[in-house]
Amino acid sequence: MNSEKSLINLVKKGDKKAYNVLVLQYQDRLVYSVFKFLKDFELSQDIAQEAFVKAFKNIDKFRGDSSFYTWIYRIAINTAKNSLSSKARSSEVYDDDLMDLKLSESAITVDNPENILEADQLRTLMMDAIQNLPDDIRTTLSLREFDGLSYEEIADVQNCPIGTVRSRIHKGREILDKTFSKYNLSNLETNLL
Amino acid sequence: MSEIFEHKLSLLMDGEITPFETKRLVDEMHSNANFKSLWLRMNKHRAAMHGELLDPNLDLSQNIMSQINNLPSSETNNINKWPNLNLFSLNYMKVCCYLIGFFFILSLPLLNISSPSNQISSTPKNFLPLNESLLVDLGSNFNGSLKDYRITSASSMEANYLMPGNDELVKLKVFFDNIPEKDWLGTINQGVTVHTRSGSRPLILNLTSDNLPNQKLITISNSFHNKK
Repeated sequence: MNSEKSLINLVKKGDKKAYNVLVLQYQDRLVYSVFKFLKDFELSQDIAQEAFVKAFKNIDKFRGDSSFYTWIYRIAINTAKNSLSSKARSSEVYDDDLMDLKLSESAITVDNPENILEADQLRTLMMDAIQNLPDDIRTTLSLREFDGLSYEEIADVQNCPIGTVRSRIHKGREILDKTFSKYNLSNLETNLL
Repeated sequence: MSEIFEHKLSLLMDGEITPFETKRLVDEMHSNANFKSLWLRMNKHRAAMHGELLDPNLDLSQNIMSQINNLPSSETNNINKWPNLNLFSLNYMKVCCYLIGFFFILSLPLLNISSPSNQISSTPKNFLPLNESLLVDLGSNFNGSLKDYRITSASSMEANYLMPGNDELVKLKVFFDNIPEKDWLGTINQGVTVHTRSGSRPLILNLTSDNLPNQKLITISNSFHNKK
């Protein structure tokens, strides 16, 4: 089963709702990848947004040889490079050396908004929440999330039915969602005070 | 919020769900804000776990979808090439059929003066474009109503049928006579394939469905055998 392929097929048939599902799925990861390259949070969001629109316009060219994320990542990085080179051109002194300089400068001047610190806190919180999961659920979820094993492989490793794997992973995510929602709520209250 | 749908969202995250269920989840997420919000949060958990979350409140989807919805149609023409048989496109198809019929009649004298050797080499010309009536006829074998179709090559077509009483879809690939085996085998990698005839013409049919089990497809394919 390949749900991503099914989503892409729906998009190719004109289903924009299916594309929205892909956007929600990959937006954070893509912004993060572009941010690693540009070190500018606002610009990274703009580039990711542009990449998603470009990918939609060219979805018929996506043949599925790689994952959708790999494909859109390439689009985003090319868009980021073009953005930097057009900035350099607008200063009328564009050349390859200047482009490299701009990239290295942008890598040094890290724009680190408060939200990024908040994300760091959240990551620590999520990792703690994973550590506090019941053993069987934690192991199953870790095999999926960090080792990238399929449900079938996890069932083999843990010597249990595939249905048990499904339930454990779902249960784990349910617990993590409670932690995430609590954090967001308390954060919202702090911001309101 | 339905526990089953929450469970299925978890499966969707891991690519462990069928195409039919994927479509159902997409529709459900579109109509139910709670599911959409849960999907957003679940992906944020994952991003946070992998250290890829920069802003817990980030959501670009509204801006992106608004840009996509405002794209000029020329930029999205490559998407959704399948014609929908609604009222307007039916009229359009009628005009096309008249025009094709007109040009076909004009070309009849040319076909008559062809030498026998030419007739053999030009066998694909026997293929009738927009042979909607054949597709309707094929659908009647299994009570499927023709939803849409497209011409895929000079000697093949693809059609979607709605099954009676529900929204299950059956896709039919039709290959006309004298098509080399490698040409039709190359486009068939799932479903049920059946060799049959339409009048004196041999046909190769391939049946697939996102939501019907193979057993049901085999039953449908038997209806063609019985007709043969």
